[in-house]
Amino acid sequence: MRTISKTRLPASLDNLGQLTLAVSDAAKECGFGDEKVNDAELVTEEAVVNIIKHAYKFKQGDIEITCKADDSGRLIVEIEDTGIGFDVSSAHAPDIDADIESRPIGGLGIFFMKSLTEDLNYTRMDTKNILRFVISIS
Amino acid sequence: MEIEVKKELDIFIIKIIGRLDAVTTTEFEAAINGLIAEGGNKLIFDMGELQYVSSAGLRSFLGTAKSLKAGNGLVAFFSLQESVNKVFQMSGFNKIFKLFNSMEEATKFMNT
Repeated sequence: MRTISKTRLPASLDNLGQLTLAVSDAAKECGFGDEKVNDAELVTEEAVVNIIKHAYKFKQGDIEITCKADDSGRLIVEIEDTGIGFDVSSAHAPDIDADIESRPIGGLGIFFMKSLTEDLNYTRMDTKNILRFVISIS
Repeated sequence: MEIEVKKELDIFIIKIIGRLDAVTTTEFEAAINGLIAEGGNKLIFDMGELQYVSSAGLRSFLGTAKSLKAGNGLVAFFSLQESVNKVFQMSGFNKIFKLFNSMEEATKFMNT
């Protein structure tokens, strides 16, 4: 396992681009093709936006993203914050068969995170929330 | 993200260029709401140069469709790129929206 990058920035939508770029650059370094780079970027955006909107709803703080590669070329991403904790695995899946009128606006972010990663898990350590996910090259 | 709008009779054709993410959707929604306020109720989105969409972008599309549907309006999309198409398929948006290969097909749908 080697660390590719560590990026720490204030949790703000102004920094969304830089945070997702850190992960897409790491995915490219792992040799990922366009589709997998896009997956990594999408999952990161959904996670970061949730942290900005919910974890740091009442206070400001930082987001730290660590990207690692293992020996099989898998990309491991750890996203840390010190806001309100939320276990993504407890979220309900949206009804993707509902029509326009009954389709609720929202709920897709976590669904994308679960669908596009191999291993998505949340841990709370002291005051820290750590969301970790893995994406493989194929 | 940039958008280019052209009007053909009563149909607005909106080309979205770049990325539709949690940052750029604010500007996108303001532009679309402006068109709806002008009386636009037939919108076709040209997706040929949209490279990336997240759940924030999908939320904008759904919100637009909901407000148009209330006024008997229509929305259609054409030329989805691979990455955007994947997100539409995954979320089931391919089933709630009309997706076409070309502008001609999308325009034909609006006029029938």
